[in-house]
Amino acid sequence: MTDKDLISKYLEGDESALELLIGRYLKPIYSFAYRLVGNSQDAEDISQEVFLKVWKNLKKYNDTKSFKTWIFTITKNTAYDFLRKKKEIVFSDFENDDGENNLEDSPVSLEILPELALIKGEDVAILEEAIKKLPPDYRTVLFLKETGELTFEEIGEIINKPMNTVKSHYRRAILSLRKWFSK
Amino acid sequence: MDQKHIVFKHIDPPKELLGGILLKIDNQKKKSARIKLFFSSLGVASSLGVFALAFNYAMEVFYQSGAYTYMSILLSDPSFAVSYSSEMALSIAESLPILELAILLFATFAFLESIKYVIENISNLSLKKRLAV
Repeated sequence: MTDKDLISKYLEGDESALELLIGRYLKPIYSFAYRLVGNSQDAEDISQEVFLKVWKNLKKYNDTKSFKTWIFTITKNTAYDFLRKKKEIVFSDFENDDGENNLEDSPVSLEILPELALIKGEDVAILEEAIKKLPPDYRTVLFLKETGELTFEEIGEIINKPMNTVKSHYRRAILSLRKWFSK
Repeated sequence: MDQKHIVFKHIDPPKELLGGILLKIDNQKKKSARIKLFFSSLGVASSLGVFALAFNYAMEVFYQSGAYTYMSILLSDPSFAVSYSSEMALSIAESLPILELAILLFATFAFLESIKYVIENISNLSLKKRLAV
């Protein structure tokens, strides 16, 4: 059953349809929230808030648009609000004092680092730490792209930026991680 | 296993998270239903008052109208009514207090709708809590 079918069933009075819908998206939404905020307790709180917002706004949901994009947008906004409140918006360690990132002009293919195939053990934790240091939009793009959940276009709708900007964020994220590993 | 994907894999949420979310939604529904029940009860009370007023007024106007007189004749002397049925029907239709009856109908409808709304909210409040297993 598609997301829209479940939503229609729920709005017609089938309570189990909502439970199925939440069950379908719980893991990806929790994972996304976890990647943005960095700990399980906060990711739980954010996930609860997201699904509560989804439930409250189901009647207003525009079914001509993708439900997946909609729920990930809500998650992104909720997590960003949370990070703002905690004043944990992290800026890139690779920008100079003028806010420029010299790596952004470097050519790079839109493929994830081949080096990642070789990392193991504690290097995985180092990579996770490096990802945490990326700006939230870079992390958002990287995670959503690499888990295979969404296209660049869909990610652009979520972060409300043009597709070229999304690709640029992705490129910069990869370059940042590559530089981190080359240290 | 491709090490690349370890960093980007989905993370399993705590087992009780789904149940917690459903419980939170149920609690929110009940809270919302309580508030709506309060206001809809006020709505029932006020629409009942309006209905009573509209009913009394409609009856008063009806008793004073020619329609009441004609209907009395209809009931007391049916043979007369049959003989002059078309004239009587026209007379009754002309003298009916249409506006007052329309107001009474609207007040009745509003009262029934408010009752229906109260019943819906009561059934929302009596939702059983569901926890995911």
